[in-house]
Amino acid sequence: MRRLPALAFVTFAGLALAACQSVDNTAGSPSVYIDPGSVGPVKGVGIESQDIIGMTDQMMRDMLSQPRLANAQVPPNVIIDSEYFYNESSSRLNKNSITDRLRVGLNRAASGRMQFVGRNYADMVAKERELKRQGVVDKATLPAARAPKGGDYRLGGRITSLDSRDPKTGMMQRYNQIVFEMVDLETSEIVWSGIYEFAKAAQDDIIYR
Amino acid sequence: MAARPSWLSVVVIAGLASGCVTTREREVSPAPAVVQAYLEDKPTELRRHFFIAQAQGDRNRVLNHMRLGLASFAMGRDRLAEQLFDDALVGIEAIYADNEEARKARGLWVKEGIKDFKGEPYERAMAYYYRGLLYLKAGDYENARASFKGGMLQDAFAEEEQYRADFALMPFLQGWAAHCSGNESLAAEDFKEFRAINKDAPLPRDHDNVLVLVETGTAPVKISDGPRLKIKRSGSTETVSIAWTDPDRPKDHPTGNAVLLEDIFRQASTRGGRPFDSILEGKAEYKDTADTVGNVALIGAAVAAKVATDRPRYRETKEQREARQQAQAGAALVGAGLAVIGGLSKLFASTIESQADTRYWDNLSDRVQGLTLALPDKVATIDVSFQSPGGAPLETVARPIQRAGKCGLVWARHGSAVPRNPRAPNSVPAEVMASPVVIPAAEPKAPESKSKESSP
Repeated sequence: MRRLPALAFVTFAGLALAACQSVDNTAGSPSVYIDPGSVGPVKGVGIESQDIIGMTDQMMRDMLSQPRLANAQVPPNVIIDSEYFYNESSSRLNKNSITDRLRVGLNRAASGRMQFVGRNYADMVAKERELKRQGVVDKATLPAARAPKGGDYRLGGRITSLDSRDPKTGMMQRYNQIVFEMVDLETSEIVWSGIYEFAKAAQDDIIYR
Repeated sequence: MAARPSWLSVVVIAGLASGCVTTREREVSPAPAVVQAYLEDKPTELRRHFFIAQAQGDRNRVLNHMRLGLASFAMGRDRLAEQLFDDALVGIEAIYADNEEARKARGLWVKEGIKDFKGEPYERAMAYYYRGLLYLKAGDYENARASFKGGMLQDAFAEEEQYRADFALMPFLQGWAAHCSGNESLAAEDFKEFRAINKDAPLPRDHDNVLVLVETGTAPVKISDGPRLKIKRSGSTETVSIAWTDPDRPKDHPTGNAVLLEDIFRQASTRGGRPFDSILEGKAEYKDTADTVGNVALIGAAVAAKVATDRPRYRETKEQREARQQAQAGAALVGAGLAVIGGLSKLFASTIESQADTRYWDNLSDRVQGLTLALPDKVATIDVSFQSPGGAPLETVARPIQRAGKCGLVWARHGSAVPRNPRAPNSVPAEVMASPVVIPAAEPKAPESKSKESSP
C-alpha cells in the first residue's frame, strides 16, 4: 500500500516529462559546398541553379552545332546579354545568371569560331577609347580600331511559366518554358532557336496549407 | 490516509505537465559581441526588434523579417528591406515535406505554434507585394511582375471557390508592372484578370506614369477560437484623397480620390477553414474526452478516499473494527487506483495541444487604396490626406514620387510601420512576451597588462 503513491508519483513524473520532450536541440549544420548542378536541400518549384546549368549547357551544345553560327568562314560577332531576354514568368530571378553562363560557356567552347561583343561594357570601352584619343593615356599595345565592334547576331528570348494549384491537396505545379533566339541584326532573321522546358510539382505539409 | 500523497503527486504533476514550453519557443541569448556585430548596420529605431529577431531564431524568422522588412521599407531603407523580404520569401517558397518540425506539429503533444512561421495566405501574398514594390521602386518591372504573380499564387487555398485567387491587388500591380516595362499585351491580360475580380476600380490609362498606393488601418488579428483559427478586424479604416502642384502651373491644384484596391482583412477572413483545423479539432476531441474521464475518476477517488478516512461513529467491537478497517483498506486501494486513472487522464488531457497558431504580422495595414496618374517629371511630391470614416480630416503628409525607369511610385501609410512591441504577437510564451527587451552591452575590452605596456 505504501508503495502505491510513490509508484504513482514516479509514473506521473515520467509521463509529465515525456510530454515536454518536444525540444529542438539540433546543433545546426556547418556550411558545406553543394554541387550547383544537383538538387540542393532547399527545393521549390521555381528556376534553380541546376535548371540554369542544365539549360545553358543544352543551349550551348545546340548553338555550337548550328553551322551558320559556329562554322561560318568568318567568325560572326555575337552579342549575348539579358537586354532582350524577357522574364514573364512568376519566378523572380536575375536574368544575367542565365545569359552570363551561356556567354562564358560558349566563348570557351567556341574557341574562336564565334566572337563575342561585350555590349554591356560599351560605356567602359568608350571611356578608355576617349582617354587614349585625348592622349591622357598611351595607345596601349593593341592597334586602334575605327569603332567598337558591331554585332552580327544578338540573343533574345523569353521566360514564361504556367502555375496551377490544387486547393484540396495543396499540390503546386509550375511549368517553365525558356525560349532562346539568335537574331540577325541586319535582317531580323531568326537564325537559331532553342527551347528548354521543365515542370516541377511539390506538396507542402498539411500544417502549411 | 494512504491516498493523500497520491493527491499531492497529481497536483505536482499537473503543474509539471501544464504549460510545456519547447526550446524552440524560447528566446536564446546570443553573445554580446555577436549581437553588436549584427545590429551595427541596423536602423536605431529597429535595433530592439532586430535583436529579438536574432533571439527568436528560425521559428519566427519569416515573421520577424516580414515585420522588419515592412518597417525598413517605410523608413526608406530599401536595400535592407530587399534583403529581409528576399529572406522571408525563401522561407515562404520552401516546401516543407518530410520536415521534422512539421511532423512534430501534427502530433497530439505538440502545439501548432512550434512550427516555422510561414504565415497564412494573406500574409504570404503581402510579403510578395512589398517585394514587388521594392522592384518597382528600383525600376525592375519584370521581377516586380513576377513577385506580384507569386503573391497571387498564395491566394489559391480558400475553402470556398469564389474566394480563391481573388487578391485583386496583385493582377492590378502585375498589369502596372507590365505597362511600365512597355509590354502592353501582357498588361492587357493582367488587367483583364483584375477586372474579373474588381469591376469598379478604374484601370490605368495608356499615358499614366505614376502609381500612388496608400495603406490605411491596422492589421487583421488572429485569435484561436478553440482549435479553429479566426480572424478579426482591429479597427476602422480611413479614406484618402491626394493633391499635387505642377511647377509649370502653380495656380492649379488638381486632386484625386484613391479607390479601394484591396481589403486585406477581407482576404484574411474569407479563406475559410484550413485543412490543419480538422487535425486540431481531432486533438480537441481527444482532450475533452480524456478530461471528462479524468474528472469522473477523480470524483470516484474522492468518494473512495472519504470512505477510507471516515472515523468510527460509535463504539465498535473488535470484529466490527476489523471489518471496517478491511473495507476502508479496500476503499483506499480503489481510491488510489481511481486517482491514478484520473490523474493520468487529466495529465493526458492537459498535454494535448489543440490551440491554433496565432502568431501574426502585426504591422500590416487593413486596406490598400490607390490610383494612377499622368504627371510630368517636374512634379516631385504628392500630398496625401487621410479622412476618418465620417469624413473628418485627420492628417496630410507629403510623399516624394520615386521615379525609376518609365514609371514613378508614391507609397504612403497612415500611422507608423514600426511595430510597437519588438516581439510579434503570440510569438513566444506569455511570460516571455512580457519580459523586457534588453540588448546586451558590448563587452569592454580587457585592459592590456602593465608588463606588456612597459615592455620595450
